[in-house]
Amino acid sequence: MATAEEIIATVDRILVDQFELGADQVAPSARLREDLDLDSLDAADMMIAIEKRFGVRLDDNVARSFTTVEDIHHYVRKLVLEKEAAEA
Amino acid sequence: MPQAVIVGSGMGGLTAALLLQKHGWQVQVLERHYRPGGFLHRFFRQGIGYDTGFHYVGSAGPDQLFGRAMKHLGVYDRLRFSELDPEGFDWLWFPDRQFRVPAGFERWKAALTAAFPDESQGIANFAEELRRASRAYGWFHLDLSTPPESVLPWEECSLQQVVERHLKHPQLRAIVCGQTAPLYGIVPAEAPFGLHAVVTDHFQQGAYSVDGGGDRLARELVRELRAGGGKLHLRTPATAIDVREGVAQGVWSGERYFPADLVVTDIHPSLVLDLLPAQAVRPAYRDRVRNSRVGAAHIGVYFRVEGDLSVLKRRNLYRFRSWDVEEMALPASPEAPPSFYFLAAPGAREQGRAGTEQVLVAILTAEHKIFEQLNGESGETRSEAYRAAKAGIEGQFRAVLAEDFPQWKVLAMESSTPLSTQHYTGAPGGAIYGHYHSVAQMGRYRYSSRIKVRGVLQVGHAIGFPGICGAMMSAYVGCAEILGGETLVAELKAA
Repeated sequence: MATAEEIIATVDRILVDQFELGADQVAPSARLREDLDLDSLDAADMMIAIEKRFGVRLDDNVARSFTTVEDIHHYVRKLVLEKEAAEA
Repeated sequence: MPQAVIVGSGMGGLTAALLLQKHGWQVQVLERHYRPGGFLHRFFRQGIGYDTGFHYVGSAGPDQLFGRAMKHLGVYDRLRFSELDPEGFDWLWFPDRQFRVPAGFERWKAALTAAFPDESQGIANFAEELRRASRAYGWFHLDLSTPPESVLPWEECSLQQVVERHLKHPQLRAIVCGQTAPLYGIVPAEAPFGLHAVVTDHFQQGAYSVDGGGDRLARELVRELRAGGGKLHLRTPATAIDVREGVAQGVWSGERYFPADLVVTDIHPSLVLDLLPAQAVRPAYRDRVRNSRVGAAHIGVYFRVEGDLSVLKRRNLYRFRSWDVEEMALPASPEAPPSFYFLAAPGAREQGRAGTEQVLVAILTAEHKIFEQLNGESGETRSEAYRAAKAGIEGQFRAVLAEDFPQWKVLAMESSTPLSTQHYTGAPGGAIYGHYHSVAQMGRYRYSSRIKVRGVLQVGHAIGFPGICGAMMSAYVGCAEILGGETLVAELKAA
């Protein structure tokens, strides 16, 4: 069972490694577009990277509505917990 | 005048070049090969032309999509289209049953229902779903009021899923899948239903050949380019895209530099990555492109026969050795008869071009890596093992051909492998359609025409749909980013 901290750390690592962001930039309150320069093109790549890493499927509409890093944390955590519950 | 440099002179590249030129851009097209056209390429032996990638196209009537686009691009009047038999433009030949696919939805439904009367309701429902799926693609119907995301659900379900929902008889299922799935090279279990619907719909409007084949089409597009002041540079492979501060500035071909306000690439996205500086895109995108699967590869068999070709004069043959359509994906081998082949006689449809009447082109499924392994380190000279495998496959094909058409005497035959395709077009894996347009790689996982580098637009069949019409539309959709979608649609409607 992944803890919330582990899930968040993994999401942050994807952002740092796959999107070349500084670890200090990836704060929960950081805004994706304004602070991190992540646009709609990056969104598609991010969805794929997260889905591959966690084995979950992101809903397009939810993923499109992300505005901060924290939004990603919450949603991925929810999906991973649901997945684990379903597998248990 | 803004300057555009187009990398690659395939259907997508030439379409983009003409669209931009029409809208006031100064355009230069770079092509690595000594002939333009990419997969429109036709090669010649003793003055006789053999088509490689272009066999037929749908919707080429004057008021249909491809026909309108050719008018819009200024070449329609210089091309001679001949419609294949509307009563049966594709001839599906299974072990113990044959079916001729007619043009027009109503005729098509009627033909299927006549063959499978117990399933008339299922056939009607399937046809309706096909029509709805096709309509979701606004660009293919010149109706941009349909939002782009409406295609997503149609790319998340496979052809097989929809077929199984509506049709029962295994032979009916095979006939419906066998019609176009081999054409775009994806097995029914993986083919997005939306893709199947668009391809089928565009042929249902009428299937056409062009006199002179893809080569003629490419030449007319190039003539139009030159007439408008654009330039085509042959034997000029792009070697790097010059990017400064995230914006493309031009294209290098060795020592030659072509400055550009816009770079349009008509090559596979992984080849675009090769041209870009390492830091130009993020690792997430790079990994995604590098790990994506490329499309099916093929063996092309080019030959002439003595004998009556009238049976193929106005139709193409899809020959299946088994009722299991999935077997079309089995690569041809020197040890066994091919499980599937496609056969067309493009020359027999032409008027007044001596020597081409008896030309036939066959396509067999192949796997790039088998030939790559056989060839080993031999490079362009090709190894003995490679040559032996190629000759073996030709032999197997000759044997099935002699069985299927005992009345023909084969005169000259040669073939191409996925390595040949890669050599001439640069396509990774020798893939005929670039990308593997499967459910797992389409829909939300589709490539975008834009990438992180500003001033770069990607077009071509890897970005859009497979085939000549797919590549052409990828250029319209891509150029809409610069020229405006509504503007281009209005122009197409007026053409």
